[in-house]
Amino acid sequence: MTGRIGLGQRHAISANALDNGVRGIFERHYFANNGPLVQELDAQMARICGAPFGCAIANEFLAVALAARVIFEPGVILIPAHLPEHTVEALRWAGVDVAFADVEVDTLALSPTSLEAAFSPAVTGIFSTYTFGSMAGALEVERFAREHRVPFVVDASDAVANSVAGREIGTIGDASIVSMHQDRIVNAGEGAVVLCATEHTWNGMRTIRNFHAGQTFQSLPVRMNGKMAEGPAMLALASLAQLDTTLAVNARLSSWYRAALREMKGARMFEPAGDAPHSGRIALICESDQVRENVANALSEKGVPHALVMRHAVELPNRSAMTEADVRTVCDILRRAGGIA
Amino acid sequence: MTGKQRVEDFALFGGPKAFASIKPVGQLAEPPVDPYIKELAVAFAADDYSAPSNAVDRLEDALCALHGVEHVITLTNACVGLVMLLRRIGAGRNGNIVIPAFSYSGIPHVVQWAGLTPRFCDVEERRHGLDPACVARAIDENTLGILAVANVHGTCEIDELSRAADEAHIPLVLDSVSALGATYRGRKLGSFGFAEVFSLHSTKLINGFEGGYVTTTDATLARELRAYRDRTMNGLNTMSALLSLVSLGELEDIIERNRVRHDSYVDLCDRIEGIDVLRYIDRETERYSYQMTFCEFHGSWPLTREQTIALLRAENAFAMPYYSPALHRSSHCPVGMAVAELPVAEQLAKRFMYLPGGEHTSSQDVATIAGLLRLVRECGAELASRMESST
Repeated sequence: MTGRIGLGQRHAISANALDNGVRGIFERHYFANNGPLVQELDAQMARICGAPFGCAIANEFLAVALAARVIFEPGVILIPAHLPEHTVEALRWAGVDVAFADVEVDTLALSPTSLEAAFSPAVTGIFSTYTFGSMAGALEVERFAREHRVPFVVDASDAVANSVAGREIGTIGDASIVSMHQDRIVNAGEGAVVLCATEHTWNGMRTIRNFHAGQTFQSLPVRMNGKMAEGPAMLALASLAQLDTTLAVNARLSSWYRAALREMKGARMFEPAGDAPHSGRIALICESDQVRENVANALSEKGVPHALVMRHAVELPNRSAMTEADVRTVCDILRRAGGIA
Repeated sequence: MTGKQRVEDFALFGGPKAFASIKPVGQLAEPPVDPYIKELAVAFAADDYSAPSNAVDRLEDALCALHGVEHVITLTNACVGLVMLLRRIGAGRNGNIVIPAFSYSGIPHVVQWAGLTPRFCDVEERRHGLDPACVARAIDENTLGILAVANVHGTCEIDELSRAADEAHIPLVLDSVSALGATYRGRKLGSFGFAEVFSLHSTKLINGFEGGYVTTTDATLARELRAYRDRTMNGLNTMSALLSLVSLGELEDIIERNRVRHDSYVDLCDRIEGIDVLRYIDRETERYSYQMTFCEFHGSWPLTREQTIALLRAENAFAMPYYSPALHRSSHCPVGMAVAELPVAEQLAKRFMYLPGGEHTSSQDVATIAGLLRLVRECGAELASRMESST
């Protein structure tokens, strides 16, 4: 199995961009504490994603924890049950409890129906995710949140440059969080940006991420060191500079998988919803527990990296360096798995 | 020397600034850029942008050797390390953590992020750390741990605090961010207490952009912390790990430059009536980083500390008040929490100014700053009058 086949995108930047970016940091002598690159990243992400404001944070975990502290009142937050463990733990750091709402079987997304079934007077917010970059149900959940007068925050990491009914991710809900972990569309190594719908939320985020008197824009009872430094910001900006290329690579990867899995029985490739979904996440939705077990065993036997998500989904390798031949290798293993040949 | 001789020569009153660029307080060391870029290129070619990574493994090994400890766990930053340790100590219970009232502003916040209540405690005059006698009185049936801060010029009374923790059957955590490079009774910081926390922020001794790490001798704690770090994705990114590694190679030279700078302040400022430079404790037998230099004001100084800071800042010498106000009297004290008088912390918080230092402050700059302070002494009465009338 070639080293190119891996889980997590790891989009690279050019040697030139790396050299110029790092030397620029050293020439400016500015390494941390809301530097010029961090401020530029805030502005660029807001612009690209249609949000009025952006606020860079050290990593996805802290972005969730800090955003939850700023936006949610103490209480119960409704979440889909397949949120990653680290996101749920981040919500706990923010002092809120979580309750699970189911997702729709076809879209893997929350819906007003699933939310209504889980809603109670104790609920003070909704935290969701665009599963595999799909924006299905986003506007309906936003409307539900508004009708029930609770804030709506969403992990939009896999939906950068996507939109639904023309609405970009930065225009939906009270905040959208975009992880810039190495495995995502935008690669900062570690990092995240919280896209804020209002100046009030932005001021809260800019305050909560540090302890400095000079960076205090709102009175908040607790603050934290959640700052992103210039190094990751440089990487993120270099990644954004080649976003078109990244999205094209992701689109190509999806098309290879789509072609190779077309004749597959017992499982289908998940097609994310939206005007331009190019998340780079590849998910196989299996029709039964048995099919999923067969798929997982087959991949494990051949040492193919994969992840089990929810009950019937298997996430497939999506390293940006993968070739069409690599995709066919993976799909040949899937096709030979018992029960789906 | 500044060439300034009169009140009008101060920038605050229209004179030229003494410094063309800002002289900050932080270390801001810059390791050589070429080896750093080379390291990054190799790591990125292997798709290693974040933990777990070869860079993190190498850094943790190097830090183990530096501190003489078995276990180092690198993290997003030092605050995350403190919160993780305190959440581990709290284990879902309600309770309080004893903390010093004379310390940096983040301390009460990290306790609350752990779901616990800060219990402010007075400090002792010598090392400015938690006063063990006060700690013993502050511990009650709800106290779950002690979070002590090891200060730059003298750590803290680690042995006595450890005894207080042992007697109460609670852990002692040391925030040793300012004490990297120091020894306590001849032993390197890093292996004391339940665990210690250090920082890789660019203003600290090791420049890793942002970052932090926990040191411990407890293998079980180390294993739990690593697992929790990995589950919560709070690992150190490759850019920070590699910058820290390259910075480590410069550590001894940085400490020596700090010492020369500090001794220069001592030599020049001690001759100025009304101020004294805070000494590093037992420096004949202990090691320190000499990263920070503090000036203590006495009653005969003609200006207030805040006036002196304003005057220096106008010259681009960005001095700061040191740990002021005391935390229990600041906006960082939890809303609605009533705290009795803590006289030592409250007094210390009024007395010290943090002087510019680090890699952007040369020996010549120190002489210039000392010259400005000498001029304050000489023009004191007129300066005080001018500053009073301008407010």
